[in-house]
Amino acid sequence: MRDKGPHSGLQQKPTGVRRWLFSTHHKDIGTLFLWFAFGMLLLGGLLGVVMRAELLLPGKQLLTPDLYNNLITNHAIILIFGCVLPAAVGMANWMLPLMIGAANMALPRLNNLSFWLLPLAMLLLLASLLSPMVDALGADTGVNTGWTLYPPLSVETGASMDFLIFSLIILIVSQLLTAINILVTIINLRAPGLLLRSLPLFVWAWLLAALLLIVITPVLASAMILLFFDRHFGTSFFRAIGGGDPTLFQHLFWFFGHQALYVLLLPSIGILAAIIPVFARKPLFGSTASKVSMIMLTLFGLFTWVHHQYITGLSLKAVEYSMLGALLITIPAGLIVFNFIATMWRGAMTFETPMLFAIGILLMLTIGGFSGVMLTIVPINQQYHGSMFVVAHLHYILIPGALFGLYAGLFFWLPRWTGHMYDETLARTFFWMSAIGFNLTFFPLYFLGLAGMPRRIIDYNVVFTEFNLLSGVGAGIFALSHLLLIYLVVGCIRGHGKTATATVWEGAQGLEWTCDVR
Amino acid sequence: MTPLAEIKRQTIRLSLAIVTCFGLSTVHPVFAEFTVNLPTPVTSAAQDIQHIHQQTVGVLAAIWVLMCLLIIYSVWAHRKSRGVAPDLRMHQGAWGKWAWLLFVGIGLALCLRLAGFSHKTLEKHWRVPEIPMLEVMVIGHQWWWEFVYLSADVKVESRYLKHDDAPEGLYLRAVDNNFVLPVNTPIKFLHTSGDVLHTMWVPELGFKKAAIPGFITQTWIAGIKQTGLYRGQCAQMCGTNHAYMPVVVEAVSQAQFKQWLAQKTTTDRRITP
Repeated sequence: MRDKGPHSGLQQKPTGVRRWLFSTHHKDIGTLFLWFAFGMLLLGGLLGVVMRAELLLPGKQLLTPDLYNNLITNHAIILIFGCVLPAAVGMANWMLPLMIGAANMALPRLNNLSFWLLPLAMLLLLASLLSPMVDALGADTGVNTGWTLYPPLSVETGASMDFLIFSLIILIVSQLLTAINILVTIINLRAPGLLLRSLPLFVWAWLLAALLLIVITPVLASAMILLFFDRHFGTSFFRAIGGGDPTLFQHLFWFFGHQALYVLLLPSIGILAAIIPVFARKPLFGSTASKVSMIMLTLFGLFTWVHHQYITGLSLKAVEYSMLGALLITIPAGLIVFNFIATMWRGAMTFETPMLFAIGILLMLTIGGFSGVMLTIVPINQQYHGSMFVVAHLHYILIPGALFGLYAGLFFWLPRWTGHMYDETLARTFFWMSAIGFNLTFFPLYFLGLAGMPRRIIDYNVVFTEFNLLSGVGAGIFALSHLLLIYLVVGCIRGHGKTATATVWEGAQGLEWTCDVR
Repeated sequence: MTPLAEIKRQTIRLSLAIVTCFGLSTVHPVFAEFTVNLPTPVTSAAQDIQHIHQQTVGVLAAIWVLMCLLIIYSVWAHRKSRGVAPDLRMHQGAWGKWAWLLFVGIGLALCLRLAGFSHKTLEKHWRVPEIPMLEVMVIGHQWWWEFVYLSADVKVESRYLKHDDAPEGLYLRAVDNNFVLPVNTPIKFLHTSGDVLHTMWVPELGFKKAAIPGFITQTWIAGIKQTGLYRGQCAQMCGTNHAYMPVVVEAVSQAQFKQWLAQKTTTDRRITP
């Protein structure tokens, strides 16, 4: 209030542009992250649909090879760094303070910076996309390496790679700042008497994910910087002629890349652990075992990135050690899934949309996990590596694991965020449409990989037509289902549905359900 | 019906229609190309690999089906609409306390078993043995393959055939000069690249190693068991025309190979300094 008392320094709550530009409140910043992620979801998803449209039939119909290679690179980068991670961060911003009984995140201004770095990074990505069209920047095919950016190809590419390197470095800074903020908040701002070991799994998941981000993102940043040096300053980190080795980049990248996957998966595990007990009307089975499993996933994974590199000429001992490490990770991962099923078992379930997603995730993520077990086995990896089998596997992990986990959290918490219920019937339709579309898109790719179709190719021989056609049809269904999602989300925010009750879901427990909406 | 409910009804109908239309559009008269397994292996390494693949798929599929059945049963039996109450004492019982041990035990056993038979196969095939073998260099270029038969100093350049030149149905799987190899002969492949990363992949042969510029990676086979044409592609993103680098291995009898190599020695000798 603008009086002359001791708090006269406090301003009134800002509105309009100032509210969003300068916000230091966790709910507003969470909302910013979520809307940004939603936009990136549509953009990255559109790129995927265009790729699948090109691959629908043999022959080049829509794109040139360079443009296609550029799309596959940007599809992954936009969705991983621009959609899944920011969406998970948005949910963390909204829910973590509520779950631990804090008034705000520990470092509110840092929080604001973490968000506003993202649009800046996206501008640089846009520059990377457009730079091949600018003659003055020299001959440029556009970034055509795939999201793994392996040299020597990435050293050869033109100016668009430099824009991408800087875009990634800014994304990394944003993630690092977020991770620090989350870690400090969870450690320092818990309500008095709330022990670390009593925290809900979603908070644990973020504690571990934040630690992981702090460990792995500097490694990616250094890989980017070394790449930049090789490109412009005549160094030979990744160039054999000068005494370097292209596989060094692969090690640096995958040390980051493998655990980055767990950063994406852990929040979804936390979300499932919040959802399933509520809809099964029964507490989480084995919550201590689940927490221990999550710790093991975080730690073990740090030592087993090499399973992405079996075919690069490593020694027998190196590949076997890596295979054993990757295989052992299935045990904690499987234990978590087992605990979720045991939570459902002998409960009294209802099947609202969040629960539908949760059950779908358990089934589909297991397919992804099992194809991962297959990939981990060195002899058969020699057939699968670099083929569509890998594409199928990674999408069966990322979509059910990360994306559908986020959708489950979205439907679970939308009533909390907006105060209105979303339309349950339409949401169920969305679940079925997106699940059917997703499976139809990616299951055939397993068979394409076995039949001999490599990944990252714009055109293929007629022998691969049938499964590509099926896959393209599935992609169409999956894409269209997201129009329904837009309608659902906007409708809920605008208040088309009923007002949500205080606890929203019968049986919902936890601090986040005890305070007022907004 | 209220306008909103009407819109909902129409949206659901539209969604069903879209799924059905798309589904019907996949009815396709040719069913020949729905293969679900690896191509028939022609080397002992590829046979071992296929064997592990099938066993692994079998075990994992069985576990997944079991998991499905458990979930489906639970979804049917443990529903609130059936009037059941949640069993809040389940977690305190013996199962609740010790089930995790059983799960970890089975998981560990499975992992060790998989690691075990991989180890056997890897011991046989991973390291290149020090026996006399036909040595061939496989050099990846942007965007063609170079095969050098070291003993005879013969070089073969292999490029894809354009759409009009390729035989019917073989565009992107046919090349101008095949990679000719003798059957039943141990062969050592030395992979490298002239520019960026490439990987030669022929599924029937079974091995795959990256071609890294400035380094040589090695693979070997004990022998191709059957004459024939085996088609593969480049399996590592290498730039604009990555999709246009097929490999065609032509496995011929040893006599035919000798003849072919002798003829090539006069016509396709590598330029040696």
